[in-house]
Amino acid sequence: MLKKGDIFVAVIVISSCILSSLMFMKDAGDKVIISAEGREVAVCPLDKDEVITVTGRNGLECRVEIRDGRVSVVEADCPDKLCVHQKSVSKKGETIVCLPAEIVISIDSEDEGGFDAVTR
Amino acid sequence: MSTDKITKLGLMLALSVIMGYVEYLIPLPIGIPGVKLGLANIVILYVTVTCGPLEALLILILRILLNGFMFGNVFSMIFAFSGGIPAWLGMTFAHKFHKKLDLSLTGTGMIGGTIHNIGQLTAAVFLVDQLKVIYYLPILLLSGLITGGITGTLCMAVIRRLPHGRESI
Repeated sequence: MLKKGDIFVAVIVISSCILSSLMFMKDAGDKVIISAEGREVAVCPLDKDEVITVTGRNGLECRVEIRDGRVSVVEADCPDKLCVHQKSVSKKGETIVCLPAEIVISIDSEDEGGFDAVTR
Repeated sequence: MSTDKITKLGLMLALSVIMGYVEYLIPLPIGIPGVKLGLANIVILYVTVTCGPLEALLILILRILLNGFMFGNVFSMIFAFSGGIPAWLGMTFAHKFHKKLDLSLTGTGMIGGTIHNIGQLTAAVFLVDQLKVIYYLPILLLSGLITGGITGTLCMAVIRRLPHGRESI
């Protein structure tokens, strides 16, 4: 059975586990990659406020706004406006997609992670 | 060292080598490097409790060398040392003060498992030269806690069933 000290150890380790995972979750990206019809059309730094107009399939346009480290689509020609209604993104791996215009906006960071060694 | 002790420690060493090998044969189906049961820890903890910490250190070092030369390589040995030695240190202290800290062997095992994984992760950061390896920390902390708790509890169960075992924990 568990004693008081055991539970104390478990609580400390679990809370530090939660704390550290919370710390790592805030893995902010630092660049915005915009591609249209499968081609990369623009790469912008996330920390510079900017409004970019991208033309995608069938001449549909998206106005992408970068403000305060967050990216959102503020205006679009597409019929459904799903991309405009999406929440702004700021973290690595997050994306906004406009399907009719085939525009993909994704966040990435400069330093590539990727593990190249596995231990057992 | 008496013949009795040499025999016992030899047996323990053989057991811990086999534990390491058995573990190597059945990896946990989690797919995260570094997450393992640490069966050999049962032996180290057992020797720490019944013989003493220095004897446990001896078994630990010999086990890592034997396992490294038989089934591993230099890297696996470095990883084993960087996890095993700190874990041994932590468990030795935890067991020394277990009455004051109100720890059972489950808690001692938890401490050992967690420290083991922290040590290995630290080694990985230096060896792979990628600070991003540190992203494994949360999962390794949790897995060290769980597997250490399991091995500690198993060790306690073994000692309780042995003659004169109850007095030593």
